[in-house]
Amino acid sequence: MPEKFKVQLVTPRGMLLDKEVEEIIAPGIVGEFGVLAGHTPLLTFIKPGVFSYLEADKFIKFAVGSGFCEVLGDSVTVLVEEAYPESDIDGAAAASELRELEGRLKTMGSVADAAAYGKLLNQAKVARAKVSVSGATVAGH
Amino acid sequence: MASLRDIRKRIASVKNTQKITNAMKMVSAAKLRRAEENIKAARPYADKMRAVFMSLASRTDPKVHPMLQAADEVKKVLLIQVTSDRGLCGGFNANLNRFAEAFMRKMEPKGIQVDLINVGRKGNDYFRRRKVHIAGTFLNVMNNVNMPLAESIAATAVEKFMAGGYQEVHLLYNLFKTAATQVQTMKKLLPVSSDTEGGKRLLEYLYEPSEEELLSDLIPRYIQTQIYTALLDSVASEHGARMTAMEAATSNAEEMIYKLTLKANRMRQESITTELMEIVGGAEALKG
Repeated sequence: MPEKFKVQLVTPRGMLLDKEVEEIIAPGIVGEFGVLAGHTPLLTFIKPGVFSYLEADKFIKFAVGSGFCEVLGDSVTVLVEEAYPESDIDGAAAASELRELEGRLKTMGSVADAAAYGKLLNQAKVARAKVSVSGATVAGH
Repeated sequence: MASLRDIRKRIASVKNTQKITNAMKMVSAAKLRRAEENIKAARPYADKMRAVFMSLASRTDPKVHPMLQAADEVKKVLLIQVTSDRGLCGGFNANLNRFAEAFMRKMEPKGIQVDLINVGRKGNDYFRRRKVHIAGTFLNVMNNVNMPLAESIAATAVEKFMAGGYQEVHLLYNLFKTAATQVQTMKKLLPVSSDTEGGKRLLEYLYEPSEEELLSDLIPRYIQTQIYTALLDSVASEHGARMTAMEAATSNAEEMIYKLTLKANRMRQESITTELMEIVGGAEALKG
């Protein structure tokens, strides 16, 4: 039986996850990283992507927005702006959302309004994570 | 003296008012439940954010970021006041306005000027007629409190702090305790200070990327989250206050209806008695 540790996934809309797990994989700013029990204390940014945890030999996935993650000996706290569990994501809807956002990104161009562009890009990344979590395919990819 | 018909009209009108206050009470109760869920859901995020931020800030030199540095001399203070857009919620807004005024009076002898950013219409209505400089307003927004709103308030505050000659930014709002109690709360938003409960965690962290980069990204998020929870607190408090006020109004109307009905009945009886006396008197006169 592998050692377990506590993980909390918190968004401004509430706590989505609070349980003992064996392993997590999170999308860090400098690359995806995995955490097992007894990890060195770590503080890092999370970029929009797929967050997952291992429980009973199965990875449970979440699509998450940007935020950060704190790893402390026996507990991991992941604070993100938004998070969607696999079961809540409608693959087709996420795919069409992604298509629409990418279309808007193309027409906008990054020069005009950098802040708005960044925001839109962020949304698109979250949408891409949703699509990837749901396993849906996007036309043209 | 009011005639019987006048009193009956009044009873009808009070009854109508009572229907309205009762309906408002129910609506507020329903909204309160949702608002309470929202604020309860947001608190863990805010608390965690605060804990992480404080432990980080306490181990970093304040010089690395301008938003961490306290000014040597405070001349101008920016106060972000969160009130409601609509009235009929008891002392909810009045208490807050009074709090803000007291704060200004306290600052005045020290030569500190207090400017306002009003979030919510009621605070703005109160202060725009007074000798207070209003640096910014966010009106009719309390119906739909969300992250983008908190973001734009935070952006305004940061901009004013960095370029507008303000040395401190404070946040004033009603903190939600229970449906019947709100606590006027004032928090210092900027400069961000780490003196409270700092350095609790002495563990050495791995930082990705560097400590400074983490901190400078965390500060705006931290401010946003503080404003966001303050907004949610205010919304929940507003509905709580309105519910309590409408509850009181409904029972006052009940009491008034009771008194007026008593009065009307008495008058009706009186007039019947007079009429009877007249008839009896008339009959007696005819007999003779």
